[in-house]
Amino acid sequence: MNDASSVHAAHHPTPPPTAPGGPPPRSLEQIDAQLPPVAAPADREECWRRIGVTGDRSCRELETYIHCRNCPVMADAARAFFDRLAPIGYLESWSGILEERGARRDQEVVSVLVFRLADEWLALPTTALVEVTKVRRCHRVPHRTGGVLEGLVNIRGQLQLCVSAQRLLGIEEAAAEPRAATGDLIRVDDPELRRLLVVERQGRHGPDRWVFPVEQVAGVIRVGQATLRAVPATVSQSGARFCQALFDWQGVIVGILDETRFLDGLNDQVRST
Amino acid sequence: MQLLTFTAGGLTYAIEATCVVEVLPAVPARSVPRLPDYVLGVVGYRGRLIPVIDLAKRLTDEFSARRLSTRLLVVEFPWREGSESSQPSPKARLGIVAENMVSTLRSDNVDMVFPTMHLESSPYLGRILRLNGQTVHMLIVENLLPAELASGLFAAAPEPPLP
Repeated sequence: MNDASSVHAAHHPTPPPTAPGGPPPRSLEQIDAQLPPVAAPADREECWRRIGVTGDRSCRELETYIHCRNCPVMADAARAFFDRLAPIGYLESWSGILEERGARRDQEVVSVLVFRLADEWLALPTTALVEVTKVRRCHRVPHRTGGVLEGLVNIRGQLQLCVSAQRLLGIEEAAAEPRAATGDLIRVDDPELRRLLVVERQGRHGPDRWVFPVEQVAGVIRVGQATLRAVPATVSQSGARFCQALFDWQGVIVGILDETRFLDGLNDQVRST
Repeated sequence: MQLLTFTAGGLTYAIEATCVVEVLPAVPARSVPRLPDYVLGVVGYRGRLIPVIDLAKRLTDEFSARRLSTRLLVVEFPWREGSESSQPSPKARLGIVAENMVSTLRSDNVDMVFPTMHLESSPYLGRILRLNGQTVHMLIVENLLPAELASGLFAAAPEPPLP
């Protein structure tokens, strides 16, 4: 900061220089390309290129810092890099970038958790989801299990009803051989990937919680409403009546469960029997 | 607590990272007449105009030097509509131009603290922290603008007009 006064004198309050001829750069890559190469201070000579991670890795400091980006020498060099005038037109081009409204967010986006039951990819709105957890022992309830109800599981010290969503939705057991031909690239058949989903909604008597096992969880994704497709009326599967929409994702068709219908179905099946 | 550090007049200041919205290149501001000289003007920011102040000019007599490390910090300005309501206006954004805005600090192990002085002339000065061999002066963002100026800049800040 010892040269600060000279920079002050030279560059303030003069108006910012105008961009040279030609259109102002619009993308960050273009801006970067226009930056003049930085003159390395003589005492450092970009040591990371010689003995650092992009060199022969002989620098002793690497034992401490693992990577050059953690090293104070590189931090100093970065500080020196930024300690110079902005290239002509750089700030002006940023004005244009900033003035644009942020990428217009599609208001109609639903966030869903995608999971797999046997051969079917399904999704639940994340608003209904409490947690995804490891599979644990399910304690059977005498005379009450066998249908949709599987038993009770311990979730964070509380016993919750564990159900088989597969049975409720009427999804058949997985085919014996993996269906590689269907283009289902995200499917991985591994018992280690089984998870328990905990879902919840506000019922009449407080929160209404259910736990059900799934074969695989693909993750939370955001789906634009525009890409959703209606469930075909001709679908014969009984599970279709629990779906509110379908969408294509990574080569598979995912059905979004209607959480109200799904949880109502669980309620009917379990409480009535 | 994570702190964003920058300098003014050669001294290091910091704000809590939680109120930072964005750190951007210090784009030129459109000046507004008859405002204190530390108000650089307004800057187009994501579809609206936000007021921008120069921190060095606010704290010292000099403007910030125009270097690449001098950047525009966009903060949430906790401006409250009226004195009674405690709800901060969620849309209030203030731009702060300051020098050497290139690093952050963790304030987990503060060695020494000098408490806030509550000076009427400089209400924006918070605690002085000594950590990792650096002395950092915390800034109280909501006091950076006098109440009258803040209400002038933010009270009339409506939603951006629909196109």
